[in-house]
Amino acid sequence: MMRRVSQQRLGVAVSLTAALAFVLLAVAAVADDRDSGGPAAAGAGAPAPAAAKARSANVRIVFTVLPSSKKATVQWGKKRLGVIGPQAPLIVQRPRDSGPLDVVVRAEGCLPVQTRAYTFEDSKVAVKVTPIEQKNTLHGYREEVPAGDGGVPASNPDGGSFFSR
Amino acid sequence: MRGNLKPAMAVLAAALCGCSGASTPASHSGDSRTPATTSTPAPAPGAAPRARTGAPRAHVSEEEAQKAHPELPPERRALLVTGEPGHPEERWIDAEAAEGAGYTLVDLSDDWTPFIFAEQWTADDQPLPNRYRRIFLGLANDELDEDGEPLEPGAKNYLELYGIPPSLSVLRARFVQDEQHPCHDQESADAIEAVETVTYVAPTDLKKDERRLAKIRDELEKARRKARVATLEELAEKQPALAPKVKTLARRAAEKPAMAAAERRLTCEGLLGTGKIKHTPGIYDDAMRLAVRHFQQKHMIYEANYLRRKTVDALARALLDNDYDSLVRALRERVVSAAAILEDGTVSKGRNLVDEYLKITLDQLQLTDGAAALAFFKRHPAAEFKRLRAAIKLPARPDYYADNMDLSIVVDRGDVWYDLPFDASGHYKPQPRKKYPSLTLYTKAGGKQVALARWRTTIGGWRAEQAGNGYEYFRYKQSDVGPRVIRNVVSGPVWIAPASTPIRSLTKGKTVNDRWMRVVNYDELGPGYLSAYGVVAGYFVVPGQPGRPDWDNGVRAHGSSDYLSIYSANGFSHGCHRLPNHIAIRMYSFILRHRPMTVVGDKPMNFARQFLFKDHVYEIRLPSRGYYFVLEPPLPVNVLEGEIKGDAKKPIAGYVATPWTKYPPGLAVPPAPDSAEAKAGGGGGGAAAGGGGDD
Repeated sequence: MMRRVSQQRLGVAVSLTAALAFVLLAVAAVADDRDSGGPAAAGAGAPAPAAAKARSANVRIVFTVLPSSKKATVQWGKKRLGVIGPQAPLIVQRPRDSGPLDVVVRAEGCLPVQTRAYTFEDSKVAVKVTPIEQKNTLHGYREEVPAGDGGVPASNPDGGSFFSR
Repeated sequence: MRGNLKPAMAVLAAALCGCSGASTPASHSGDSRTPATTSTPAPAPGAAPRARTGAPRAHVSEEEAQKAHPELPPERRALLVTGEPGHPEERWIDAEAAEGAGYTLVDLSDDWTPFIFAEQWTADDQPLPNRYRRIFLGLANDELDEDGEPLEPGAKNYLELYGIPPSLSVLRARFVQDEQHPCHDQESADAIEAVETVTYVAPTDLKKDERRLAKIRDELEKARRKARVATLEELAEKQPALAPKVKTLARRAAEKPAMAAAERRLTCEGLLGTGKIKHTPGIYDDAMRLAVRHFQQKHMIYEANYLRRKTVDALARALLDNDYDSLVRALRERVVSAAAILEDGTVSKGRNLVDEYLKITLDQLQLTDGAAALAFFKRHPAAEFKRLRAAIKLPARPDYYADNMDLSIVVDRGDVWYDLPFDASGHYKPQPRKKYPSLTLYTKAGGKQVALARWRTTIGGWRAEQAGNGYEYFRYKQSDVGPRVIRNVVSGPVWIAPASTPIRSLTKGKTVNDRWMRVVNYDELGPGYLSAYGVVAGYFVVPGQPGRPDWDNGVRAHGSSDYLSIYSANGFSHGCHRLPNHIAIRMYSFILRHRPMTVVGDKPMNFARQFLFKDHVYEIRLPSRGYYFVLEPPLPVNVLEGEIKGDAKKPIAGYVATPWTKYPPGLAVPPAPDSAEAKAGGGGGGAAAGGGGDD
């Protein structure tokens, strides 16, 4: 790859004038200067469009809940980060690139939701909460085996052959 | 201000001279600065972005290149080692001049990554950052954990088995510390060397095992008295039928001091007795198993978590010898990267360029054993490894090397069984394979296909899937057969768990801000070395025709943390072709550097999905699919059918209820999703190319 591009550059360099050579010199000098920033620090974790700008030390995470009429708490391990009020988001600031926040969002009458916020850029985390009585609408819900029933192998729709193909 | 005109002059002069040689192992130590092309817009030939470094070098004489330049800053110098063996003479030389004289710069810096995580730029010079690069470097330098959070003080990442070798600074610290605390005494070494393995006895079976041994001992003692011989060895000679039992007793007796020596060694290395799990001496309990696992990870030992042969061998060796092996492995990846080579001797009659170049590098640096390496590290303080490159003279690569090689992949599925692996009672039915699946990378040279490397891989097999009714069933996960292409190579790929993924695998326990809780298992999803796709994946697709996009059946060839599955007789995937992470990194880095490609960069996704597990809702949030490279033209792939064994000659379609799962009475087996991606990998992100997929 490196040489392929370099060979392409060869053609350009040969055909262009001294003015182009001057531009090349200037550009290369700038590039060399930027490299001095250190590869790891230069680009890690930055969103591409914003990379040219100076990045703030912190990121802003906006937590909201759906439906927005609900009130919910946001817990990060031992720490309660705050409350999402009806129509009022919870805004949290965290050091940039300090690792993800695994939080639990709890709303009254609803199942708790474990979700994650990232710290590599500003973000919005809109969490849908589900009333307990509607848990059968969630992926992963399954009808329980009745108590006392040992359970049986399921029958296949085509006649119940275990080795149905 | 470091911007000076010297490199630029060299670039210009080189461009005017046009010195480039495909078969010369040009220095790629500056890969983290190699130019990136960008997809938006795709660069026209000749309009590629300018090179940062790595442009053709002006020729420099050997004498000029070897001149000492101690005044140069670290980023412009390289270490040259000369002198008679055993008497290294080191000096800093001009790195650019060294390249001009045909040296390859092997990057020993702490911020080195393989090409797939190197820094890239767009055509208009905007950085295309790779989010996982920061974590890769943090892991390699024992600074961050897998989530990118700071590592606890003193904690170590032993991740070579997962494709992340330790940085040179980490190895330096290991050498220096191990010299002070050798953890090695002859008595322990003798005890360990006296055995080949240490028999695993589960803690719950200890008494049963003792009774069994006592019974054998009694039986042999009676036989010895009856035979009127003095020892059991004489008894074995006199009555060969009893020899195996005598041998068992002797072996088990030798294993006790070996186990004790292993415990001492693991404790001294800080791997046993430091965690929260208590260890009972002499018992292979969870603490011991964990310590052995860490030991294997530290020394890149592909073995199950028991005291088996390779593990026992490594336990008997001196620490500095093991450290030296670690250094050699770390350097191997850096040499492979610097020279952009791949041939590792896995093809019969093929060259092993990897070991050839590595040996040359070790010889030139005079890193010939543990003592020499220790001396090297003592000469170079840790701070020097922030930026340290070594100038190595490597031989020319084979003639078929070029910037644009005619590469292709062939996957041979080997012996394939479609039959169910259990009978109606749930009893396991063996499905032996003589020929295992393999993945071979070829190049075309002189009209012939030349195999560069061939590695064992996996194909799909019978796997558990979660149906829409919430219950698990078995389904045959097919590895596609026929011509395909790889268009997208993704570093730090994210696996979008399809809806059919068993829920139990999607959560894990984790201490979050000092509280243990159950969270979404992002280890499995990625990006990360434990991801279902490993640290890099190439997406197999049926190439699109005019007006029709590529078709993705969810099959990839990717790195994998499940390294034992790749070498196991019973190891199967969900349809993908797994490679050890370090091999996948090498292969895709090689492909990307020897084929025309475009760096797209991070591909945002903002995927979210909730699921229910034990009355808690878990929400998967994935902000990105990973870091994309696009091969244009795509890389041809052919998947051979292999030899079909057993009765079934075609894959069994649909779900199969398992005898060991308890289903509610009358619950019918639901139809399995029939989309293309669900048949093989299963794609959470849709069937279009670049969508998600299961392993």
